[in-house]
Amino acid sequence: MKILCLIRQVPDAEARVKAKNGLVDLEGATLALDGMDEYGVEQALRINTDGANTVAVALGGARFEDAIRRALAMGLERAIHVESSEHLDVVTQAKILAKIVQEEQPDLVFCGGQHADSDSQALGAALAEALNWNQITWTTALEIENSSVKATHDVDDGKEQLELELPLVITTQQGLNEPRYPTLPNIMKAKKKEIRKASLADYGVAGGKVRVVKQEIQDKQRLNKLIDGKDPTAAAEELIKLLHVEAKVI
Amino acid sequence: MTITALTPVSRSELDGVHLEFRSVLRAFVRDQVLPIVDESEKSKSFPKQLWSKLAGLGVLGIGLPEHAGGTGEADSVAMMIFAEELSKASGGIAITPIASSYLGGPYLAKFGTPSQQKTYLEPMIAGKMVAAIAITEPGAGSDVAGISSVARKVDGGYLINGSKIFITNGGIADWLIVAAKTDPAERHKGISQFIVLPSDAGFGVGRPLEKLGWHSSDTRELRFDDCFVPDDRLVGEVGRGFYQIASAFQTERLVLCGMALGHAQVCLDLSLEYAKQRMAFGHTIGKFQAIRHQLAQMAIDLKTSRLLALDAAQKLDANAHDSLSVVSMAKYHCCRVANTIADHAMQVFGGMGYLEETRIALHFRDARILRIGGGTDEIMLEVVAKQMGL
Repeated sequence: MKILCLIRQVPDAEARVKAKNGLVDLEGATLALDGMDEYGVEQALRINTDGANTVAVALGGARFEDAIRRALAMGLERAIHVESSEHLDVVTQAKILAKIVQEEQPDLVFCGGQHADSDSQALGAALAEALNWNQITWTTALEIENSSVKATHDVDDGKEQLELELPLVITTQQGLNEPRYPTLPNIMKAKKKEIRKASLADYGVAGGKVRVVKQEIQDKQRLNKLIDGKDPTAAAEELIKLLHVEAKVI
Repeated sequence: MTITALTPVSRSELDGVHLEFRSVLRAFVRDQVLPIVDESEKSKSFPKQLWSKLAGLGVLGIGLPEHAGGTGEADSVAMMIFAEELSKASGGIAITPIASSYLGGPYLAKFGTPSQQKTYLEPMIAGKMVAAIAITEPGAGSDVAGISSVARKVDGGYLINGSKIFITNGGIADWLIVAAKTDPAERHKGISQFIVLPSDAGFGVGRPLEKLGWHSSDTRELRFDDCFVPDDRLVGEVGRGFYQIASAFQTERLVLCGMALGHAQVCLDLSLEYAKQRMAFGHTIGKFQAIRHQLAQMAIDLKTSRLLALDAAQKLDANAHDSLSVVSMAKYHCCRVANTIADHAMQVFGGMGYLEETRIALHFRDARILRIGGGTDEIMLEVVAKQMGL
């Protein structure tokens, strides 16, 4: 079975992100392979245990290469990197990725269920639409037999079991598996694996349809509310009221 | 004409493979090790569940033979990175696999027979066996040639008598490389090494020794009372033990440099973060010259340690003519700096640093042994002085 894994490079969960000239500035920030994409890479390697016929596909700036190397070090066979630092909306991304899927003819495409940076969940759906393929979203369990796929995915009040035929776009969710750590020998081997570079022009795309006008970092400030503690009962009542009515945490 | 002596073998930055390796280890330590440090330190035992995970990462066989499951080629930089990242969580946790793979492992890798490598080294790299080395004795630490344990030749093997002390992994090891005199009349030329198993009759393990630091690490006294070891468990050649030990020292010292860098880096990182948010007299304490200069000094000391350690690692792997001297310089410098930085960190944190919850206390006590183990500061200075022709 041939499997494509869409991967993205995002700020590490502990990275400190700053804004510069009205846009998020990632220079100097620690970046990492999106954790949701790691589930897809791991699942691909559990299906094709020797890594054969598994391809990482990335669409992003030059620094995406670190994420690509991580996916290759985990065990994927090779990679395709469409290099562009432009902001591309999800629909435009899906059009480019659909062309790669048509070139590569995989049976299965894994896509992260939600982007760690933008929180978008749209890419998998947009790609399935562009390909006119079926999709399974938020997948937490997966079983493949011949061309039949049985999957479990989370819904608000429980789980849903689905059974569909390949080809499919499957988006991942925490719980699908526990991604492996690359070993030192595999990190070394990844350096020699093929990364085919391409540009937006190769796919007939000049740019995205959405322009980012301004980004800002949410400024978190403490309210510094002090409760007079002379009367403990009144203080407790006031605290409960603030937590319930204002903070809405209880 | 080739001027090999002047060919640079050192780079001052990590390459892509090592950066990626470090990034993987950081994620591993954050997710798998840091959450269990408290429990491990309190129970004074190494978390056993880490063995299979460490083996899965391939970090129990760096530079050890490929046919036994190792990475093959010597890679002291990778070994140091492993030591550094694990020590950022706990020195006691770090030293346990380090003592097994990088203190014990190299003897069988270099001098072991194919059968010894298959029986002992391979399961160790796979995380299924733990190793230890037993050299130090109550009467002989730095003076390795002065050990008094004796291995007397008997039919089919040797009878070992004597005792060892401060043996890391002594109570948890599945095999130990024990040094004993096969010729008690000789000093350097009289030592041989043997694989001893805990099940060997005449082998005894004392109670766990209480220590200032390295609480997650097992340290024991060992006794040998007519402990019989068959001929096929001799490691290397009879009478060559001292030289075998000396050849493995350089690796051990570099790994200890890595541990020192880990303690120093985490102390600096925590201090910097604290100095930027702790308020006193209306300012963050990092704005006060007394504190900011201290932090700057810590950063400079750490940078010089890192450069020296990286230089030493690359020189050792390249078998450079001055590697013995540079490794000794690095061991001395890095381990002293780790202690100085841990001390400064305690000062920056004030009372908070003295509490267990900030982790400064753990690094403060764990760093201290590094100036003693694997060759004391004083021995390192002696090696450097000797290499200077003194």
